[in-house]
Amino acid sequence: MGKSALALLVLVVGIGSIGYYWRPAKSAGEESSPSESAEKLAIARESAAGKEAGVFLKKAEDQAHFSTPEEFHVFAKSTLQKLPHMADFKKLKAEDVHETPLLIRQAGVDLGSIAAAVSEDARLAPEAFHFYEECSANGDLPGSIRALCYVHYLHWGTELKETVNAAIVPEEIKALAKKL
Amino acid sequence: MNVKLLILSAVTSLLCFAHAPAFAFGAKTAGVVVSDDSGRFKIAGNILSTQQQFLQQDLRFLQTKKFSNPDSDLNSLMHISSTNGDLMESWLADRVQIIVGENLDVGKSLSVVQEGYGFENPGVFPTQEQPSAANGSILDWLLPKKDSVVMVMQNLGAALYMLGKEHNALLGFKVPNGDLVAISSPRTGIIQVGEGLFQNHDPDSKNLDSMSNRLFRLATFFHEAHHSDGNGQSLSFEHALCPAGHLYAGYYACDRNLNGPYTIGATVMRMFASNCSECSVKQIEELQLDSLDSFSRIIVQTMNDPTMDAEESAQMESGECQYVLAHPELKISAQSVAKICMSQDINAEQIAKISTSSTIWDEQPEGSR
Ligand SMILES: [Zn+2]
Repeated sequence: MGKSALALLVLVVGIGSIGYYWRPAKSAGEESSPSESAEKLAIARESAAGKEAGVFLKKAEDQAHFSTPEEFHVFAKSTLQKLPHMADFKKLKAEDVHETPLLIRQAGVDLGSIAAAVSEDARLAPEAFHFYEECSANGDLPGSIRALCYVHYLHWGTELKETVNAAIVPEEIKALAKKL
Repeated sequence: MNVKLLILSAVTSLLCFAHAPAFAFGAKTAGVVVSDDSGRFKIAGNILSTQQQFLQQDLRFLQTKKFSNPDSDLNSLMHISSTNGDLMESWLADRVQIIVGENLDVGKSLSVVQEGYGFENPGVFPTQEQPSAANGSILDWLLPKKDSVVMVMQNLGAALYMLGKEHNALLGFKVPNGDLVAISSPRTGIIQVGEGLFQNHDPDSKNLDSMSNRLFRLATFFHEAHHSDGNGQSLSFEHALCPAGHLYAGYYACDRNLNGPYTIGATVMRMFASNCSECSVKQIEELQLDSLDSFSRIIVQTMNDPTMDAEESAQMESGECQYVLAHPELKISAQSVAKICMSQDINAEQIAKISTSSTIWDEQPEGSR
């Protein structure tokens, strides 16, 4: 084997854990590539409740505004259902996970819709508090999502003078939440 | 098939893959290397002009940005006196020197400058953790499926330094304008960027110029730049395999130290989120979740027995549980034994006995550039 061929061999092996950053070929919103199938599966979870709350989803994207707390309740339920589960990540490829996967980025958008809505309309806070409680307690969700929900759960618990149950999340989630 | 042969046969496809089709717009000016505003970074002409503009704008934003909410962790990690864009850009410039595009034949750009070069820490390399067959292998990482993924960014300089050191040869890298750069340190700072960096990182935004997209690109830079650090065992701050039970279990997507690339990326992103007055509530939520995703990849404790999680191990170590298990003559019912063993408080001392804490790695780079 020539020196340059050997060099390339080692180069390719060496790079592995230094950090190639790869991502799906198509960006969000475009037609999905094969490696995004797992992400599509998770996003498809929104179909049932998501369709029902479709009008609110649209509203949240546009202006994060709900006419009544009941509308927000339906929206929050559908959001909770479409957050990705730990199991959804097992289907991802190695190249999808060196940087934050689309599944997490999309969850950021969905959680962002909740945060934006409640920041604009204080009437939604009690419903948001329950949303964050359920999200924090759900052991099927990734730790990063639970931690972000827990931060909001504590915040709204204090604001609303509600009793907060710290036992709904394990210590590692609390430690992660403290990072923010 | 022999793994080495498999990898070798894949080299060609990997390098071809790196020549992914470029954007339909923008022109390349081959060979030309332009500087950003500060003159601290060189941007190669094999990067599309539209992408060059994004890079220049991102770096200009960073250099001129004053952050009103300082982050003491970030200051400490970067050894900077205040959370200030100019100081952060200097930190970046110490680790990134030349930014090249993906449309580059790495093999043809390489040469041997000096055989038998005297590297620091000869023969000392990071310990490569072995991937779990059940959760994907390094080959998955190395051989991304053609057409399904694109390159975002890689620290080519660090990888080439490692390569040269392994062969005891000082390598040279010809940058697109013809200059030869001797890879005498992981700090040589050759960063390769690809189409993926200039795609939409924010599913809620269609605008690549949006603040959230800019911050996602910059945080990626900080992560990748930190691979320019380290020596011996810590050389290039290689990622660790995420342990069983982790969201990314079995992938090289974690750090087994407290000051690695994921820590830098997470802390930078947290600081961006707390300072982004231009961001909407929704975008700040996205940035915070991105930061938490990186924080979740920092392994603070490693089980000495990798098949056990912390709780199980601590329960087995706990005195009362051990006692009842060791004395069947007490005829304690299985239910009661389970209850005793499950109710043990897991204290820090027990955890310390069954696991190893991650530490701050030495970030001093080998050699000099
Ligand atoms: Zn990395």
